[in-house]
Formats: sequence, C-alpha cells, structure tokens
Amino acid sequence: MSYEIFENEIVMLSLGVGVLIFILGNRSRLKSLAASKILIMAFYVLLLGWTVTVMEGLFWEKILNYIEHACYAVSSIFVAVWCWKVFGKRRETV
Amino acid sequence: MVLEGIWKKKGDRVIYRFFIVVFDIITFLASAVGLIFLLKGWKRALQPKTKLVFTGLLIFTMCYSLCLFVEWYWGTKVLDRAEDVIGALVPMWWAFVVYAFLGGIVEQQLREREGRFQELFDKAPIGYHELDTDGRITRVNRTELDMLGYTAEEMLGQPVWEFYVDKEKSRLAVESKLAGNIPPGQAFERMIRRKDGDMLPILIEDRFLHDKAGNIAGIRSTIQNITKRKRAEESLAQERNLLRTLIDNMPDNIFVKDTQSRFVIANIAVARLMGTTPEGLLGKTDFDFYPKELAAKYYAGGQKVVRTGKPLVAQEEPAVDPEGNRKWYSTTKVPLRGSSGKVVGIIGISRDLTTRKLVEEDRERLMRTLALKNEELESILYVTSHDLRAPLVNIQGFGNELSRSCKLIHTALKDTLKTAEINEEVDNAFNKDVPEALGFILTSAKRMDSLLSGLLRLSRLGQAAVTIEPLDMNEMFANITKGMEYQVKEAGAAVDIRSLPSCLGDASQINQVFSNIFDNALKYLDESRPGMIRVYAKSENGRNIYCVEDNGIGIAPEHQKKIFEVFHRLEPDRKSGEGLGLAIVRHILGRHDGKVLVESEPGKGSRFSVSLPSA
Repeated sequence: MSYEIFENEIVMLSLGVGVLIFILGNRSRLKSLAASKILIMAFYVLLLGWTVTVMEGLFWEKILNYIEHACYAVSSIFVAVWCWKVFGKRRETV
Repeated sequence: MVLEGIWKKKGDRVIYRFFIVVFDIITFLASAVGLIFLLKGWKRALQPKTKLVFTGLLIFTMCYSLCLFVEWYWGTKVLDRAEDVIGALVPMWWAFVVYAFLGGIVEQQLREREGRFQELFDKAPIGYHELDTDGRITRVNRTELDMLGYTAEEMLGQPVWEFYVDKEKSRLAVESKLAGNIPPGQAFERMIRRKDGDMLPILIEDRFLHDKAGNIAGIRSTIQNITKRKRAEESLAQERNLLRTLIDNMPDNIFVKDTQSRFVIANIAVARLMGTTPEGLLGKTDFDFYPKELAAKYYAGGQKVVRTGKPLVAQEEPAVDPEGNRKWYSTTKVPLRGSSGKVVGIIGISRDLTTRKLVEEDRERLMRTLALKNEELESILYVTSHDLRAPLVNIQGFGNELSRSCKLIHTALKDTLKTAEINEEVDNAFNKDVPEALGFILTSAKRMDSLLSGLLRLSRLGQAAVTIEPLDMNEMFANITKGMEYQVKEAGAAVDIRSLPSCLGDASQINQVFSNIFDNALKYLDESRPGMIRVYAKSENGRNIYCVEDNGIGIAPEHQKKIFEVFHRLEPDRKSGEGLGLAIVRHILGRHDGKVLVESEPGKGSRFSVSLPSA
C-alpha cells in the first residue's frame, strides 16, 4: 500500500483552515450578512472537500475522491443559491 | 460527445471517471449560474469591491472545476500546474471574500450608526447646541432650530445670549461658566426669543467641552421648552391660591393631618381656635395645644380613620379656645389617600356648634320650666274649676231658696199691709225687683257653672291618658252623625260623607274633635238656604287631611284666628255654647301631632281641615 499526498492539497487545506478560523472569529458579524448561513455552509462543504482530498492519499482513494468532487459540486450549488437569494431577489440592504 | 470521451477508456475506471466528470460539470455550471445572478443583480446589494471579489471567487471556482474536468475527462496532466495554482487561489479568495464582506459590514454598520447618531442629534426631543470659548454657537440641532424658528445659518456663529430675552444677564452667565466660575450641570430657566418675536420659557442644562489638554473648550447645552410645565405650574399655583383663599375664608375649621396626626394644612379658623397661625401649626399635633385628655381624644379619632380608612361623620366634640372657653364642634374626618390608594393622612372639617348648643340648652331649660308651669296651671285650673263649683252650688241653691221664701213673705204680707201705697211698694219689690235680682243672680250662677264645667273638662283633657291606635274614620263619622241625627233633621241639613282613610289617634279624643267640628257646622248653618255638610279626606306625605265643609254663615276674617281661643263665641246671643269646642279641638290635636286649619268666607260657608298621621 503506497501513500501519495500532494503538496498543493496540503496548501489548499491549510489555507482553508485559516479561512475557517477567520470565519469563526467573525461569526457574529457575518451573521448580519443576508443568507449568511448558506454561504458559510458552502465554505464548510468546500473545506470538507479539501480535507478528504488530503485523506484520499492515505486511504479509500476512490470513495474519498468521489466525495471531494461531490463537495465541490454541493458547495457551488450553495454559492449559486446564495447568489440567487442575494442578487436574484429584490432586496434593499444586506 | 462528453460521454463518448469517457466511454473510450477501458476497464473499471470508466464509470468512476464518469461520476467525477459529472460532479465537475455541476460545479462549473452552479458557479456559472451564481455568476449570472450576481451580474444580473449587480446594483441590488453589496458594495462594488465586495462584488468584484466575489466575482473572482466564482471565476476561480469555474476555472478550477474546468481544470479538474480536463484532467478527468481526457486523463491528461496538461493543466496540472494551472490546477495547483487555481486550487490554492480558491481558499485564498475565500479569505478575501470573507474579509471584503466584513469590511462591507463594518462600513455599513458605521454608516448606519452615523445615520442614527445624526438622526438622534437632529430629531432628539430636546434642543442641543454647542458654544466655543467666546460663547458663539458652533453646532445646533434641528429640534432647537425648529423650536426657535431660525435657520442654522442664522444661529451658527452668533453669541448665544443674542437669542435670550435678558441678553446682559445671559452673557454674564455664559462668560462666568466659560471662566469656570459656575460649576456645570446646573439647570437654569430662561426666556428665549423666537424668530417671530414670541418668548419661550426654556430649561437649559449644560456641560463643559474640553480640549485634549483638559482645558475648557466650550459648552454643550440642552434646552427644553417648558411652556406647558410653566402653564401647569401657574395653573397649579392659581388653584392652590384659590383653595387657600377658600379654606382660609371658610368659617369652619379645615385641616389636613398626616398619619401621625401632625398638621399638614390648617386654615385660619383652626389657627385662631388654637391661638396661633396656620404656619405655626405645621408639623405640630393637638398635644401641643390642648389638654392631654382632649388631645388624646382627637388623636384616637384621627388614628381610627387612618387605621380603618372609613370616615367619621359629624362627630360632636368638645374644645377649649385660647381664653379657656368651652366650645362644641361637629367634626367630620375623612381618610386622605395617596396615588396608591393607601391612607396617607386625614382631612377634617369641623363646625362650631357652641351657639346652637347654648340655644339647645336654653330651650331645654325653658321647656322644662314651661312643662312645670303647665302642670301648675292645669292643677290650678282643675282645683279652681272644681272647688269654685261648691260655693256656686250654694249660691244657686240658696238663691232658689231665697226666691221661694220671698214668694211666701209676699203672700203673708198681702193680708197684713193695708195701705195701698205700702202695698204697691211691697208688691213692686216682691213681684218685680226681688225676682229680677234673683233672676240675674241665678242666671249668672248658671253661666258660671257652665263655664266652670267647661274649664273642668278642658283641664281633665290635659290630664287624660292618650292611647294611640288605628282609627276607622268611616265608622267614627257614622257614629257621630247617628248621635246627632235629631239635630241634623232639626236643621234640615244634608250630610255627604265620602270614604275616609284610617288614621292614628286616641279614639274618644278624636271622636270629640270631629263631634265638636260637626256640631259647629250644624249650629252655624245659614237658615236662609238648605244646609249642606260634606266630609271628605285626602292623603299626602304620610298624613291624612280630613275636611268638614259646610255652606253656613261663614266666619269673618277677623274672627278666624280667635275661634280656637277659650270662651270665644261667634254669636253669643243667638247660639248656645261655652266657646270651648274649638279650644278643645286644638288642645286634643296638639297632643296627637295634629293640626287644624280653617278656611271660611262670610255668607258662603267654612271648611275645617284636620291633619292627622296616617294609620
């Protein structure tokens, strides 16, 4: 059994964790953003994708790779929904 | 075409790659859709820089998904380097996005706060201005401008005292404040002049503005329009003055005490009674002015009202004035309640009853004396009328005896006296003078006997017991008319008796009353026309009024008041009687809480109305 961990995936995860900390630190402020839960959920799912892409180098390569790409897709859907709620609906302020 | 690309590859990897490619396409399309929404609603929300950053995120995501698609669809590593770079940019760009959002939020919040502050400043319910060290206005809010009617340009830069009615006084006050002579935080009332010339009472409160070194850099002041408060104060003062004038000019004693019976308010009458002034009473109690026992009594009464919350109404209380004179007061004490409903004191009003008490005492004394005198009079009347009858009987008896003796002497002398002259003289004496003299003596004695009988009856009436019971007046009048049936026939009179209500009284005495009145009605009928006697009654206010009306000769107005007097008779020569009938009527009714009234017109008739309590 060979382990294959790529540098770029570690970098993505590290940056993602940094962003996570940043988000958690400003959670109360971000709540004032319209439909903030959807956007933050999109990031969490994306972060899950980055996590599993690192983990797939260690075990369950195929399944985790599926999950990684599925996470990207779900995250993008969340982002699209957020864009629809914020820009597609008539709103005066955020 | 895409599927063909996937299915060209052999082995297990075909399906595996298919789903990965599908996920990548979804990622790409979703990001593209998000980008379209963003671009379409570009003007609707968020700041431009935030939207630009977010656009970048969507584009990077699309590029990343495209790289992944190429890698997994063709199985080539051509875009491997680009995928690494973009893959790293995506999380970084998320950081930018979050940062941009936060910046936007903070900016938005600041803008909102500033807006709210400006709104608060301008629309605060009180006026606000700031002065520099020269006393010139450097800032003023909309409320103050509206209050005074000026524009900001008209006020800014002007010395603040220019707007006050008393400019000099205000200037000195502002300069003293700026010089630190007057400590800040004190409230002042001033009159300020509006642009239209009206004067406005205002309340000013101020604080110092300090520079970084801690020196006084100006004054910030709030001003409130206190017109309504001033009017309310004036109205209250007027009401207080009115109330004070009213209670001070009331002859009654008016006071307010707290729950410890200390005077809170007292009018001049109270102060005069206690030998002090209304101000001198404040905070003091009755123990400071009255003997201990009397003060304790007042205190107990007041405390009872405080304790029970129930008023004491018209309590008669003794008092002593500063000269030591004993006085009497009727005092009403009512609880004074606070806004919570709890008793916080008492309000008292007392009225001087001393004069009334003295009059009552005098009246009681007079009544006692009168009753005593009445008893004495009745006794004298009884004794006189009773005892005088005995010698009268003797006069009558011996008068008759003398008359018979004279007749005998006259008969005997007829034979002995021969001379005609002597015989004539003796004859005259025995036949005319002596019988005439004896006739006068006997008539007078008879008359005196009749009067004494009447007086005796009257005095016995005063001593007779009165037994009050319900009386059937229909039955009583039936008996009276039956008893006088002969007189009625003799007079040729018609009698009409209507249905009569029952009343309260002594049966025999009330019978006597109506018998006398009915007898008079019969006795004084007019012989020139058919007699008519009507008896009827009416009820009002718990009393029955019985009327006996005749069409007799009537009573002249000058006699109407005298007919109830003892021995008064209308036609003494023509009608028999003692003149006591109506006197007895009045006497009996006086003992029955009754009244009698006569209405009469000479030549037409009379009506006697007797009022008695209803049964």
